[in-house]
Amino acid sequence: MPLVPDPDNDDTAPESLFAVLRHAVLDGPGSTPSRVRHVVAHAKLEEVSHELRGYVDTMREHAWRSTDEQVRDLLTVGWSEDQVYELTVAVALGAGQRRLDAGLAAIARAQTRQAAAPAAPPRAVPAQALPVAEVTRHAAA
Amino acid sequence: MRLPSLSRSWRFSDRVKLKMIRIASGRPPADILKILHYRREYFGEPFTAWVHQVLRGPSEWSIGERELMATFVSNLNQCRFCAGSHGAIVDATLGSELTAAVLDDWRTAPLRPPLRAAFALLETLTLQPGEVGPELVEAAYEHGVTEQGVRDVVHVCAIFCTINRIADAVDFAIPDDKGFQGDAYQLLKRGYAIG
Repeated sequence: MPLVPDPDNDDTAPESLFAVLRHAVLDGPGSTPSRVRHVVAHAKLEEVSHELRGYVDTMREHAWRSTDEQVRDLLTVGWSEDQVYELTVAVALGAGQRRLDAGLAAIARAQTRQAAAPAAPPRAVPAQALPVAEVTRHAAA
Repeated sequence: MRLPSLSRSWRFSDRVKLKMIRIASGRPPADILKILHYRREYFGEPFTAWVHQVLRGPSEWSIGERELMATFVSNLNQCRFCAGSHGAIVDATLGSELTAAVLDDWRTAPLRPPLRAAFALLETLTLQPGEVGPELVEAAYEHGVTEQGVRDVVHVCAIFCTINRIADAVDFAIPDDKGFQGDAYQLLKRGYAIG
């Protein structure tokens, strides 16, 4: 799927609208470097600073367990509220994109399998399944 | 809300808009509205354009069915705010019995076969995205779902796997039933785009 808006595509298609969103969140103006937003969106935990790692992991796997303390800890070590907001949105979008990519890949694989499958031969219809008039016609032929 | 500055830095026209919502509804605007209007070009505008197209645009799924998918995904993600918000829309469109039946067990809920196939895909895609294979897509096709219909299901899942996390991380306040119903009425009437 396109990672940046493609002006040749239908700009109301969901894929195009997602690409616009992704571009704004990860590459648009912000108080956090774009590179950091990309890193947290893709959950590259080995590249995430230590104090951010637990927050990203919680957000990605079980956001309902996130706590006041986790957010407070980030603010305490120097991240601004605006930066925490951007990082939160970036991680969440990364989780959404993971589902989008997985779903679209499954559609593509289904297409490939469909194209590779041999055409099914016409099914023989048992005589007893045909209406009486059909049986009569076939018998007369 | 855990990031209080998100409730203060809105453009003037949005401050007026949110004030009007407060006056009209008799209660503070939902936290989701505060987030969507905070630096709206960063997230709120592009996000709601996507959501509006997927949940209100042309589709073989009815609005109620798409909202039911949204409720289901939010419930799997244990997001009380989103499950309550979109569940209230399903209650108003398809009936509260169906919402309850799906959240209890979608396999036994009275769903038409194409919708049941969509829920099988949604469950795996939400909880185990790495396990989604073509079989789930093919099963949907066998029940008459088109490729575009499957794409719509995938987008609903992606939308709510995004916003559920934001709602929980920022700790949106949970409205009471009357609040959810009021928001559902507005979302059915106006849709999602804040553009």
